[in-house]
Amino acid sequence: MSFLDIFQAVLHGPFGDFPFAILAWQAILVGAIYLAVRLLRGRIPKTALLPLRPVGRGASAVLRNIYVLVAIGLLLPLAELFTGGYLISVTYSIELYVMLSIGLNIVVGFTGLLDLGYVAFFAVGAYVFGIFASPQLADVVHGTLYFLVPSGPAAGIHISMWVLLPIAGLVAALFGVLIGLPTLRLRGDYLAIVTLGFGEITRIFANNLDTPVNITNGPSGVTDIDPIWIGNYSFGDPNHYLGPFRFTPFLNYYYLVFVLILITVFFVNRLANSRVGRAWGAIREDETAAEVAGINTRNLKLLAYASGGFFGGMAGAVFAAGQHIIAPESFQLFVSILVLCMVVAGGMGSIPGSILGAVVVGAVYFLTSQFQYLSILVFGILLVLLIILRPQGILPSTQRKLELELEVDEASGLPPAGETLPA
Amino acid sequence: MANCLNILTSGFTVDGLVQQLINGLTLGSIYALIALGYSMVYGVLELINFAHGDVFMIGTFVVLGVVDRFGLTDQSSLVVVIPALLVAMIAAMAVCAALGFTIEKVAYRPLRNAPRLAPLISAIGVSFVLEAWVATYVSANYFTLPNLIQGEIPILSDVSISYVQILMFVASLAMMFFLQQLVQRTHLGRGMRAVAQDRDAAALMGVNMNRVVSFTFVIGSALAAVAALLWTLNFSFNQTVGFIAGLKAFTAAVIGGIGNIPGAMLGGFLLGLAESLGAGYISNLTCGVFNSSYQNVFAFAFLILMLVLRPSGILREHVSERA
Amino acid sequence: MFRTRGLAVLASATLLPLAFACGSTGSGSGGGTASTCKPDSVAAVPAQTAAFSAKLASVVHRAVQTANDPIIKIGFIGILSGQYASYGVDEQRGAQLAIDAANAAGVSYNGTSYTLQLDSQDDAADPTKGAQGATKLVDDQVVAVIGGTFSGATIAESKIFSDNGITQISPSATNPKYTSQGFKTAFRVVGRDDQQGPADADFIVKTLGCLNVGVMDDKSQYGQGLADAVNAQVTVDKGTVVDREHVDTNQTDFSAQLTTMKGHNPDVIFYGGYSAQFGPIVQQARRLGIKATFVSGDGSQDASAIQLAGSDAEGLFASNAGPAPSLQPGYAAFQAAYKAKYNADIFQYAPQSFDATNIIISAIKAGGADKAAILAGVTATNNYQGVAQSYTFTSTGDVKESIFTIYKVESGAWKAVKAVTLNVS
Repeated sequence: MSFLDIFQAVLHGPFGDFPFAILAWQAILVGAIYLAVRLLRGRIPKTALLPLRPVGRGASAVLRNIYVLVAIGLLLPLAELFTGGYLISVTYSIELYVMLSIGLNIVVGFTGLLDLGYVAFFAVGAYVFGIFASPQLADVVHGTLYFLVPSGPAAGIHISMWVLLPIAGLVAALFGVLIGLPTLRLRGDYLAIVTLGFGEITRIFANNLDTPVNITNGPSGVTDIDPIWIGNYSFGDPNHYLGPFRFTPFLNYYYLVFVLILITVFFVNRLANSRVGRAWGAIREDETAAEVAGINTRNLKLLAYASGGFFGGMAGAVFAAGQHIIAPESFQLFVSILVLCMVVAGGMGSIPGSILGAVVVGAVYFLTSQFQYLSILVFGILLVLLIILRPQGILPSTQRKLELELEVDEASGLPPAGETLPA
Repeated sequence: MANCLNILTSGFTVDGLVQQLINGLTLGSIYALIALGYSMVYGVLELINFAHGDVFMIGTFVVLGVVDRFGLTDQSSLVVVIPALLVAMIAAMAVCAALGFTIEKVAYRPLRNAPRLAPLISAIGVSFVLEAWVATYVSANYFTLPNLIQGEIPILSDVSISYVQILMFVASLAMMFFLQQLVQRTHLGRGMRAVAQDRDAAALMGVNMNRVVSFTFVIGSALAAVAALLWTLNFSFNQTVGFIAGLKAFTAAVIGGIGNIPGAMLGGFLLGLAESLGAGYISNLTCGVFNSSYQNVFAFAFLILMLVLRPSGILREHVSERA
Repeated sequence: MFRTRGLAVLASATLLPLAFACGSTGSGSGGGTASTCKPDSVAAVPAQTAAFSAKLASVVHRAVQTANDPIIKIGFIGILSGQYASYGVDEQRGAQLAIDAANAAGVSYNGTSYTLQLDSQDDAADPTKGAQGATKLVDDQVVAVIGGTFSGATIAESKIFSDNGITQISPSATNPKYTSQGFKTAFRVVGRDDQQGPADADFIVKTLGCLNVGVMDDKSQYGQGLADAVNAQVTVDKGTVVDREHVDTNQTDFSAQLTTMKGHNPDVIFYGGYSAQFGPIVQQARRLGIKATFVSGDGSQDASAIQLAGSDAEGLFASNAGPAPSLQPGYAAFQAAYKAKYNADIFQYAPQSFDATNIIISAIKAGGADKAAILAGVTATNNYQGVAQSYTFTSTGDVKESIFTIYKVESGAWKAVKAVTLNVS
């Protein structure tokens, strides 16, 4: 291969021949070169590339260390190859919830917006991917433009995932803005109920949008969804082998979501440590004061919903591809509540916390699912205990620790004599 | 499309309309009873007691247990049925009151000064516990009671109002009246109103916060038990019935004005009517685009509209600072 | 009706002479809507005990295993928890009985004798859980699977079993999609909703002679699919669907939908959905003064419908896949064995589950406990005589002779009134 061939291949990119995909790849190249140049010139502090510096010592520091987390994440499923596909499938499900937790953490943890309807974003992302990556789109088009598109079996458009995943995320983000707009003035528990309502409304619409135009195919859901392809490698093909080890679809999707999570963590961390993140924190602490201090609470709240929605939507899209069918029954209220429990248990406002919370709660939930109701019973008891005894969660961010651990005398409202704020 | 005009009026009868109104009011009266509990607790603690709907659910199962114990069937005469139902009501009220008291003491009191989210999560946990317990140790199946109270009064040619429906309506109005007296005339009732108005000032005036809160929960749960009895007389139930009924009842409380007793009643009736008429006529009104399965959407849409347009409710008593 | 294209249904319904039609040529009589509609005149068939199949060996409670036999695992996946658990547990028991009977009689191929074991997983009707359970069964190296119970999870599981070459026979999934995905490993021993729906519609219009039909469904995959099929066929049969209503699977108060339905004056109301709603719907309908006859599908043809409807259960109709118990050759013996072991009555599809398991076992006996051999054996199943009926699989995995029976509640129990047999190519 000559130098020219390599150069052409690099410019063409691995995303296929779709012009938009090539453009996207070239944009990424340009961005990467720009960042590299800035880095070399010393403009970007090195710490930006190490987003999760360990704080403090001990187990909590180890768990916050991004390298540790990445190592565990990469190697865990390989270890599970020895124990069988079941654990991998459970790990994959947990991983999806990790992504959902991080997304919800933006809304609940950073910005303090009680969102009990997070499953709506998951559902929107899943349906967007499902409709565009399956024959369903033909039904939609035919239903709306029936005088243009002839009836009969149609294969639909099968859009590359490189384009479709971000689009699913963007549609979900837009949806987040739509949900956010009417709820801007609501606080606290009212907001919780309304977002819960939106979550349920989304599911009911998904269940009913099969007349007059068949958009979501109603209770039967969208089937025949394409798996994700990278080049010639189909993620849904069960026959990939690496030596003696078989890469089941679950394993393939696991690594895809893993990469997505890395991207998510990077972006969320950058957001959290920026002016936006600090503004979110201000809104969480005291919205009126934030407003008075000149923060545009409206836009920032909408941004919080949109960001949370974006990552939730992408998780939904991968979910749809992995399961190859989606139905409204997968998007019940319980999912929202479960994700909220994960965020709270892990530690609100803390990214490693929400990862850990998702892993712990998810493991308990999925591995005990044989005793379905009994496990929910125990789960409920543990939740009450956790929130009473350690409301800051397992791995709280330092800010939260300060907020919640400080003991307050019930009658006087002051800390007990002699206690001061921790240094 | 000409089809649309057809659909607009198809199946519409005056009888049907009257029947939907009656259905809506009876359903609404149950929502109102449950809403009273939500409303009072929110007024005193500014907390949505998510577990309240599940206390209602426990009440339905207590009634089931008692009716089962008495061995009542469709053929049982009123002489047997009425005392049995009274026993059921007392048992349900006792169990629910005790349950409400315990939940408050164990799951909410420690979190009195915690940030907003904590009691909410705690309530969700309690809700899980109650539902899962019933599903595990009783059953996850649906249940109905036999037709214990039969008979109806004809109104129009094809519409009649059954005795059960009259009972629902009358019982909930009676309970509201009783509650209003309780809140206006008793010592603890006065304490409740004081705490609802200004928590710190009430404490300064010597109101025992814990006593008042417990009292609120006990009364609210007892009312939910009455609602449970009325529910079982007409509808089916399983361990999930509490959640959605609770949600709608909370919506009713918000519509009428939270912290406000007549408001909760009004909200309940309005919501019941909206649901009934909505589910009944939506497909006519939208030419078949929306169908009656959107019933729950109405409740939520009503809620969202109220909160956006008039957050303090219809019969607002005091304007809260929350937007 | 969805996904029924590409299906060839040969021979129209072969009606067994069981029912006595009231006003059998009801269609065509001008304005007299109620004159030919006499549901009460449709009576139950007196029970005919079919010839007891001598092939059914007697079942012992617990067979004594020979310690050294290699263990072969047959998987079961279905609804073992939640409000629909009765369906799945019933099927699991049927499968277990088959395995016990086989172990008692001895399973061997080519001189090796095997001990069979049932490996059960719960999918709770959730596709995600089903996928995980299916993966677990794959890990456990099952050679074949009986399951799932409801179609949604079954379809999600079918890909995993297909990917791993594991034969899957479902005793109760009736959604057409399950076998139209093109998986070689997907089979079922019952008919499909796009057959059950027309059977029900024909019964309503032709046998009951009732032309004004109201259709309700619970907006679930099964319920709506069946209701759509009935809706379409009623129109084809020259009946009129006067109203279409939808409820939610969690709904417990149906008065709004029923009042609207009442305004349209149907003679018959068909409900597509499960008994957990069907019973209360009937009860509330009678309270509202609705006199129409209620008909439903196999989701309601069970004991809980009667229990929930209480005294209003008399005169209800429901269809079920499979022949009537009195026409199932081995039913009496199977029922006795089921009762002896589990001290309970058969809920619904246990005989089908029993038969499905035995089809797999005979494939093992014919070709060994190898996944590919079992798949070949099951695919080649020809006129296998089971407890319920005789089975032959079509090229898509459906059963060639698809039998539906319509039942009526009389004196507090379901009695068969009519059978419909469809022969599929």
